[in-house]
Amino acid sequence: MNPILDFIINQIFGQGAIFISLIALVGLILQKKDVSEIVRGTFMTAIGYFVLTQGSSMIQGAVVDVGNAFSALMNSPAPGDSVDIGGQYGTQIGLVMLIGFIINVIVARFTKFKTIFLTGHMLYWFPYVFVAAGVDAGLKGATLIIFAGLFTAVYMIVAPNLMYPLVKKVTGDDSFSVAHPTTPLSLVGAWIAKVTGDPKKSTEDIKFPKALNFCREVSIICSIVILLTYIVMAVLLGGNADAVLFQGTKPFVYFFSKTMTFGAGVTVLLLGVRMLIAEIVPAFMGFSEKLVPGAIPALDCPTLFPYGPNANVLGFLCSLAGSIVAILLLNGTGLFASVVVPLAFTCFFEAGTAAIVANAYGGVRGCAIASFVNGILMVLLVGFGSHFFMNTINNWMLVFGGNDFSLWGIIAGALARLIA
Amino acid sequence: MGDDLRIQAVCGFGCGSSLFLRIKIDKVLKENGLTARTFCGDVGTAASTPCDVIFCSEEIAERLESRATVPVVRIKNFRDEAEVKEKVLEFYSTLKD
Repeated sequence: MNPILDFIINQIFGQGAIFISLIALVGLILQKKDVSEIVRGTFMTAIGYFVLTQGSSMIQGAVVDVGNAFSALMNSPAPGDSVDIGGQYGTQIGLVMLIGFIINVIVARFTKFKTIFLTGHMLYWFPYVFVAAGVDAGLKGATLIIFAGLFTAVYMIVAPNLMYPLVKKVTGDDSFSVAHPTTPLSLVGAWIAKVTGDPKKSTEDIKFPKALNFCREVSIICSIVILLTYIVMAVLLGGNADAVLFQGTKPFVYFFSKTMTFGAGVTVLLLGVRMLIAEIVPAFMGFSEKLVPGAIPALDCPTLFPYGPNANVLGFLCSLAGSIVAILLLNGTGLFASVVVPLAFTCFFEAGTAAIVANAYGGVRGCAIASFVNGILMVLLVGFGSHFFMNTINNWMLVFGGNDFSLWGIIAGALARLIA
Repeated sequence: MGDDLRIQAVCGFGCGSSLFLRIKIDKVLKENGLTARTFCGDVGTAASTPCDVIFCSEEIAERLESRATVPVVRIKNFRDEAEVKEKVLEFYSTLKD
């Protein structure tokens, strides 16, 4: 290949950080920012990309031993994330993000589906999941980008439109929707709550003990869950624990460092995502405001949290209970390709949002029952999803899946295997 | 103060609703000829991130106020531009005293 062409294609566009900061650069110029803002924003986006990659590998490093312990217990081969999607496919993710967003804007401009998908980190994670689903199935090159781009576009249009009536029911406001992988859990939650509960007995009428407030600190809760998972694994391994887990490290030091590394990884990951999208989303938003009259912004799920803070905590606790029960019953059955750990993140954000929706349809009882069922559903989604992500992002899914990432990932993975 | 004022928009995750709030704040600043550096933070790290003021929701404010060393401004509805405008201008008027 021509060395200049090689430099452009393989070196410049082979670096995801460069492509994504180019998107930020164009966005900043279009927003007519001054020179110092443009330079700062462009560089911070590139740095954010590497911060994100580091955070992601810290999290995987902290959970990988759970997988190893499980394999040792089940006598099955240890899973591994053999392809680093975030690190190796950055340019593809950037392209897919652009394709998805442009199709979303065109559809909103010319059809009655007016939602614009604006949840920043989800604009990154859905392309990430669909690219992973394609890579896991063996897709390459243009096929991979078109496949993931179309899936992202369809998702960005379908999910907020499904959420729209639910958001209206919760808030009494039809000026916005929610763009978040809570969608299937919220739909199931609304339906179960309607059948089982009574909307007159709202969760917001009960007095919640203040001591439960710590449940809102997600990174702490998640670290505790990881700690307990490691302790359970160590107890189950018994005499083998040293060979599989500790490898000479003192157990206390081992548990402590794994748990805190996990918390640190989550913190770093969030910082990276924040830096990565900080300049891209405002550009996307300015762009869609100009082009789509009457656009309905589809936002992150915490926009619903003020409408049911009690439902949120109740939903978190009930769904965590549901997912622990499901894990205890199902992990040993061999139905899943990998271990499933309790999904604390998903319980808080996805099931927590679904709980607020459920409360609007079925009050306290509806909220509790729906959340427990959602907890089980989440485990099934991650478990069956593992068959489609074993070569790529399964460890990431163990922490963040159990929602649309898993559901749409399964659909995308199955389809990718048909066309690969 | 001028360019040096740092406004932190905070939500639970630090990249969803806080980013939306940040964009609204930017808009208000621009319309009123004010300049500041705006950025997002999550509830876990917000209190230790250097800034001059924090904007966040009511429930986040409850968890931040005891730890934060800078003023915490509560926004009831992130999508309500009139409210964001009122609170931003109110904060700026306290600076002049």
